[in-house]
Amino acid sequence: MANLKHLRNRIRSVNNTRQITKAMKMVSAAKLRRSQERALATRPYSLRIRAMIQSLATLIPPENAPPLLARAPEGPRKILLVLYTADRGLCGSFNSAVIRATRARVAQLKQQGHTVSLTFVGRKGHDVLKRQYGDMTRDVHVGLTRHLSFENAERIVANRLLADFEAGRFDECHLVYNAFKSAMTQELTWRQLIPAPVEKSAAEEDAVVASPLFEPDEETVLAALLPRNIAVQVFQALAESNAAEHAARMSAMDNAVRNAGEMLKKLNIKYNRTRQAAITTELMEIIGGSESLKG
Amino acid sequence: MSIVIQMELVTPEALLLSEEAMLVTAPGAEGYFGVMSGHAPFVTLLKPGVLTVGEGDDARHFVVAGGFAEVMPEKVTILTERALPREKITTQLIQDEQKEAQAKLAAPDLEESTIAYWQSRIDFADVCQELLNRPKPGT
Repeated sequence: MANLKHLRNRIRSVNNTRQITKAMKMVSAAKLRRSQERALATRPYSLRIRAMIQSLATLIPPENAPPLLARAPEGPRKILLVLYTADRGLCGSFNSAVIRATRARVAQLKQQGHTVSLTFVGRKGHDVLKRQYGDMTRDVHVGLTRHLSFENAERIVANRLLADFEAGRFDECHLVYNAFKSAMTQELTWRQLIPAPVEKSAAEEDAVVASPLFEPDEETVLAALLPRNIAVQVFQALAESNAAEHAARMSAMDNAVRNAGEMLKKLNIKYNRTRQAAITTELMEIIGGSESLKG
Repeated sequence: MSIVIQMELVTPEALLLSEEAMLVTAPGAEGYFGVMSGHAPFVTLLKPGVLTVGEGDDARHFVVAGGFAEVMPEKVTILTERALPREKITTQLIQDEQKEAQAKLAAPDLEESTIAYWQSRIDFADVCQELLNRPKPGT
């Protein structure tokens, strides 16, 4: 019967989907553990270096501040946004969260008269936005999470940013990425990269503490710290985003497995009912036939 | 005041060491310096060299690439791009490092930052070799 055959095929295909999503979930779970460790391991360095810049920034008069620290003048600026997305899909709202936030920010910045350009880390963000913002795209970096290393983040992304900044192609830079909170949640994070943000409250607190000695001197240390900070923040965002991606994919796949299971249950009941109905109809026909012969 | 100082060795990829030590010796940009508990606060650049934690026969050695050190009276933080404990250094590793770096440097038309990067890898390997050549403690 056509209907029965159709149902059988549906059941087989849903079952296959369930098995695939289950496998993907398990792969993500395994990858998550490693990437989570790595993401957490990047935090201490990132925190320390930002704290050091904070305390140094307060010691240097604003007019002597190096360009990476100096506040850009008011008015229209050239702003670069760096988007961290996954190279692959099937991870729930992971990519769309970044994309949505970027769209909103781009619209807002444009309204304020700024010039915006975009750099993509990860393929998916570019795939979605290239039609809309194709002319604003500066760089697309793909495959960085396959071999996650500080070396690559620094050489491929950070040095490129620094070169572009020095060439005056932008004067402000922000990162947007999913920070890893737990296996269940990711937090969309904006971080200002250039100029290095200096918080006023921290500055006042530090002023109370006696300022440390600097060797060789403040300017030299700061000049070495700032580019390093860029590389570290770029790398940390990458590690966080990678861990968050696996977490997001794991929960997305978990949902998919559950949905497929439910669908399978419903289909099975429907299949059995249809089968039973077919048997009943056939019996009725046979009985009816033999009854009429008797008559 | 405590007689030991809290010390942390941090690379971008991991917190490698967090423990208490009597003495920490690090390769500052203007020469090696030792830190003990109660040191005046200071911040310095580091050059590639050997970081020593502890003293005498118990001392542990790490080769660090350039970076920064932040010294507080009760705490010293070493931030470096790369660090290797002495136990992990082998002649093979040094040779591989040098070979790779030299091969990359031999390529034509290199950008300045690329040259600086591979040169720093060679420096790192050189320090590893120097540490390996030191007599083993207790011999």
